[in-house]
Amino acid sequence: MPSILVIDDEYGVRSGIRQILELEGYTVEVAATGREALDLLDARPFDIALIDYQLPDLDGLTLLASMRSRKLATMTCMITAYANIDTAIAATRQGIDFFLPKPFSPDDLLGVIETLSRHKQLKEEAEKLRKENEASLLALATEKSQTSSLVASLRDAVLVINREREVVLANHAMSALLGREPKDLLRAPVDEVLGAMSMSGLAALLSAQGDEERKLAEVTIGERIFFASVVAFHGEQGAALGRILTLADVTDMRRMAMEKPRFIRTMVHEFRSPLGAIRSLIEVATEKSLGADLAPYLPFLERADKRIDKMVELIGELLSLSRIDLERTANASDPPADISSAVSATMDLYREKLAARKIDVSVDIAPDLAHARIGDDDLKTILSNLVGNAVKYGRDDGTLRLRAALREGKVLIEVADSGIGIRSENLPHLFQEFFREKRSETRDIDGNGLGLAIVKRLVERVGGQIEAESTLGVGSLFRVILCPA
Amino acid sequence: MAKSPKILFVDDDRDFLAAQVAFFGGRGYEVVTLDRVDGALERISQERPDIIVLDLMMEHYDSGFMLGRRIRQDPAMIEVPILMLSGVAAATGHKFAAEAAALKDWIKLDAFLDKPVTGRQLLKVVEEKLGARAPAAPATVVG
Repeated sequence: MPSILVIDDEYGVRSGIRQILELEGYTVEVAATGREALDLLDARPFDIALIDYQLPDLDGLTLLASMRSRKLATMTCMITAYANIDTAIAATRQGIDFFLPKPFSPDDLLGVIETLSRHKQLKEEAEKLRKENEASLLALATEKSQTSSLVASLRDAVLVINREREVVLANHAMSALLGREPKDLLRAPVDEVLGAMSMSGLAALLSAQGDEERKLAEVTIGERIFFASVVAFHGEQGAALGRILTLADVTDMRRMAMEKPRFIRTMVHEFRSPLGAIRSLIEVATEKSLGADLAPYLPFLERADKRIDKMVELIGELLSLSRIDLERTANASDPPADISSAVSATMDLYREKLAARKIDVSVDIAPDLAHARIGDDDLKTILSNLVGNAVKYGRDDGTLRLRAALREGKVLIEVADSGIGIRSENLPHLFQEFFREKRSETRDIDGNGLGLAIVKRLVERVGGQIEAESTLGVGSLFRVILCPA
Repeated sequence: MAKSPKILFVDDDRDFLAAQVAFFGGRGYEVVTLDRVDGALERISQERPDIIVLDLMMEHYDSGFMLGRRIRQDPAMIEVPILMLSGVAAATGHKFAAEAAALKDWIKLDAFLDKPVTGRQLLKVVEEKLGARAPAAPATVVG
């Protein structure tokens, strides 16, 4: 049963009302003043409040306003002997639900209470429904925003069109591909959008009739290759609502697939050349070209042996490359490399060769530099390749500068030589496997073109970078950028 | 005794060249080797070889071709057989067989040989090209 608060300063009125209502089974509380009423309202909820317009401490309108500011769910009924239109309007403005003019009969009172109870109930049900509805709307909005942020974050380009072939959704990747802002794409006819980019093949793919669930094709846009997929989506009744186009960039995959045969061809050549030389050198002996004595053949066999050594070295480096590719990411548990000890270990390795060429060495390691986020062995491999190159492609009486410092939160290691340098057009190929600059100055320098390829892979798999600068005939500088540990 | 035929090799692999000096030398040839394209043309016109063996993979993959063509432009060299060694098909992935005929014609090459080539294989082609001028079986080599 609803609970009722009766607010009237006249004892007779409030106890009379109480008796009538309690007989009907209602729970009733009474208050003689506005203050008392507010205290009771603050203490517990009431379904209905009957309010006398004239209270000793405050008038009914002020009490209504206080109740309103408390955002109470209580239904209100004004009881007054002085009902006039102004009071009615003012009370309505304060949210009064009903008027009961004095004097009233017990039946009048019960009728009003019943009406208010029903209103209260309806109001509560409406509120409940509203809340449920709001919750489901909220859930819907959340789902929608989850879906759209999911779509937005996709690396694949996504375009959704409706039945009218208008764009209804395009994610960032798609708008970047089309070179148009997402908002400009909205509602744009898809044929116009794709036609402008000479992607009419895609438009055709999107417009093809039939109910196939999924259509696939490979398309070339600019210099990139995409795997396109078109899926029709349907409403609850099974009617086609539109189509979703996704474009996955497969350029790198294709490039890798093309790169592999090139790599293998080059590798075959790298094996074939020394094998040809070895075979010719041995043939001198098997053909006895120099007579019956063994001695004259020894230099030929030694040369063959040296070539075999180099092939073994090449195989070792190829295995390193393949191991690095296989591991992809460096072992996270590897202890970070101590830069200064890796540098001194490397310099020790080349001390004799540097001295033999009278190369002036300067090593400068910033004192605040300790560890780099890279495996110790990997850093040593990188340094020994770079220092080794500086020796190989350096000049007698030249210089070698090795600097390591922190710059903008990164570890910077530079190896600079005063050697023969690299042609600027060859700088982009420098880190490619087997690349060697063919120049008269380089022909007598040993190398298989794998060292820098290994260095680049080691640096990049820990998220680092490597850069090369060079001036032909003046020298080269290699800069490795790593994260501090 | 007839004058030894002169065979001239242009190849950037010095071990290969050293082996050819011994191998063809043992077969009664006078062997001249050049390990770079620079200055090769001048040396060739001075040396007046009876046969030339060019390697294609010099500093650039086309430098062997260019050298071959320029040798042919020297009126004195029009008749000299030129053999070309190539590992180009493997190294560059060029569809070489198709181009070989055209190039052969362009340079007026006498033969193409795929690397790695043995001295014996090379000798067979050289003897074929030189005909009667080729030295007889290696009488000088003491077995």
